[in-house]
Amino acid sequence: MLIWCPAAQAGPTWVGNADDGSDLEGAKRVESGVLIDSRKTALMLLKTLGTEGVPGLGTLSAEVESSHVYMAAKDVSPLDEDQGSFHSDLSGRVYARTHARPHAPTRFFPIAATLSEAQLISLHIHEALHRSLPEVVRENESKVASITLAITSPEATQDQVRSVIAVQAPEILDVIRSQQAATEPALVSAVPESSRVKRPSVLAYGYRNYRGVNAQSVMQVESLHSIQSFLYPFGGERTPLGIGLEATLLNKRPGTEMGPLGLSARLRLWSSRGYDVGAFAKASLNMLSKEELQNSAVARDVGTFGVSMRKDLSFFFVENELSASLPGKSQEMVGTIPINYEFGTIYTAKVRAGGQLLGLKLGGFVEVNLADYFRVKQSNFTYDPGRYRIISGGPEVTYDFKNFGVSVYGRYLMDSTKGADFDWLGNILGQGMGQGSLGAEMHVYF
Amino acid sequence: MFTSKRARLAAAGFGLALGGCAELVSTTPAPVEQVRSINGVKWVNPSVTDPRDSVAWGKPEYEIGPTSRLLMRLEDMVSKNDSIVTAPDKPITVRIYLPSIWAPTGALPDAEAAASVMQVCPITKNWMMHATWYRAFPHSEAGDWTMPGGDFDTACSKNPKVERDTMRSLVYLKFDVTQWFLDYPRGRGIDYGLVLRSDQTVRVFGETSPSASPRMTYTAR
Repeated sequence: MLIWCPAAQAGPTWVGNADDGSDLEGAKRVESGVLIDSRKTALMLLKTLGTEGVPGLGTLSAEVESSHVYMAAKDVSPLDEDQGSFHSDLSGRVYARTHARPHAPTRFFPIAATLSEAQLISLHIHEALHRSLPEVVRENESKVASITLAITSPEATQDQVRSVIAVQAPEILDVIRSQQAATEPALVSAVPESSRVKRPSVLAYGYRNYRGVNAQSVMQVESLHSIQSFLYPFGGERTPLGIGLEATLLNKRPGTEMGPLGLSARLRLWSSRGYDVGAFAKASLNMLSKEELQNSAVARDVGTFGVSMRKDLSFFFVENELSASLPGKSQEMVGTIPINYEFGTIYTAKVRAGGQLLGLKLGGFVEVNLADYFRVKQSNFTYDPGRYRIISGGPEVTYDFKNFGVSVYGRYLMDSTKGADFDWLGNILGQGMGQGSLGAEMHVYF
Repeated sequence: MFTSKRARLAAAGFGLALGGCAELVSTTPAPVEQVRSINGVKWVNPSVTDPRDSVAWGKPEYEIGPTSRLLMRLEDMVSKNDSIVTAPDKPITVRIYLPSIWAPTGALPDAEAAASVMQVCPITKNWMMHATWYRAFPHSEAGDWTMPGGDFDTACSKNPKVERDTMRSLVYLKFDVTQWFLDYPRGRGIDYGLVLRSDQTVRVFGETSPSASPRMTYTAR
């Protein structure tokens, strides 16, 4: 092997099995013949074993395949580094040498012509191992020899090779683990302090005034007050898990009544790509008796589950939300006549986007509700317009200051199947009533 | 005394035949007149636009006039189509009781006056208990009446008989709606009910009146 001697040369220091290079005098590039044929056979062996998937041997095949092969003009005596049985014979003549660095050429000596094809295959692989293994072991002749034997032994398998590396050269695995650890922080983005993942819990008061609720509306709820408490006591720093409660009070014509109770399970997750992801499952439960709110079209329990994903840039944010509400029923009595309402599955897609600067967010949203059906049945009467759509949107303005925030928003019916409005969805806590709403909320984040 | 085997078998067969006939006779009940209180009743008036306004249903009395009508439907009428018998002596009728004409000695001239201005007409658009003067149902524009006050067939039942319910000391108007039954519930399998209308203001008993609610009579097996 060749050693680049630091004492004899100025400039960069090469550490490896190299000598002064005198044996290169008169060396000729080999393009064909038994050396090239045996190299091809060695390459096939490595591909059969799948060494590219073995820790530390990822570039071994490439080193065997691409290394230039030279034949020296004369045999040379071994150096200290040439003591391995793969490098020299019993009389001390050297078979081959290479620099212990990637892409270095392989020099064979005339005595190598006495080797069998199997020995030449081992020699190609051995020299390539010196170039491809991690630096901590590539010059350790004993460890390289062990790995060479594991690869070239009859009936060798990848598992055997892995086992030999784990036992004979565990430092290879240590190097790979440390390399992975060094690259991970670059792949996983840090969670910014402004992210909801950092402060997922929220206590909020909200007020909504419904628009377009008139005498013809199915349910005449004019406004809603709500108290929200979403606490995240479980999960990790990047994956908080919590439970949410929402109590509501409805202003109707006439009077005030308790509205639905919202219960939810919520998960937030900071993704490795820097997205704030939320998943939720919530139930909106009617709390009142049939003499109260429950005796109406919208007096149904609503189960909804969905996922949201948000990306915040320096001055811009965008958020997508997908959810589905489960089918439900409600019944209203007019005298002795029951009127039954049936609500189909409602699919909701919502996009929010806007600009942000110093805690002020100006934006808006567009939401599409696609519902399977809304049916009204009375003994001899059925109203069933089939699948329908409701498209709504509106502005949102939010200002956050430390742990506090206030927001104002509007929701307007932009387009719908003829006659459809938010009453048809029967979800007071979700889309609301009538033709839309104006609302405001105050939050405390922690 | 001993009888032959053949005689005993013949006697047994005769007995079985008689028993079978008795079974057949017992499964064919005789038609009986039934009087049922009309349960689907909705008062419509231009001033009531809230589909749920409680002034328009569940009342003991209503005022019927040029701008006030009563939508009426016996909610399970269609399901009894096959069992209802129609014949000249078995008409299907609607009884409307008149509280303001209650008179122990009889005040038929007033009742006759009411009878001359009141009609019961077939409704031609399906409606529900949220119907108003303007809409048959409130869920979309498809629910709008073509004519405010309700869409109805002009083939109305007019000039009802004035009869006295001596047991209750009440007078009622008896409209023959047999043709409506033949044209709609039996003929088309649809029952949009009937509308009670009047050219002059008349008070009538409502569906929550215990003994004088609007009624439908028919003969059914």
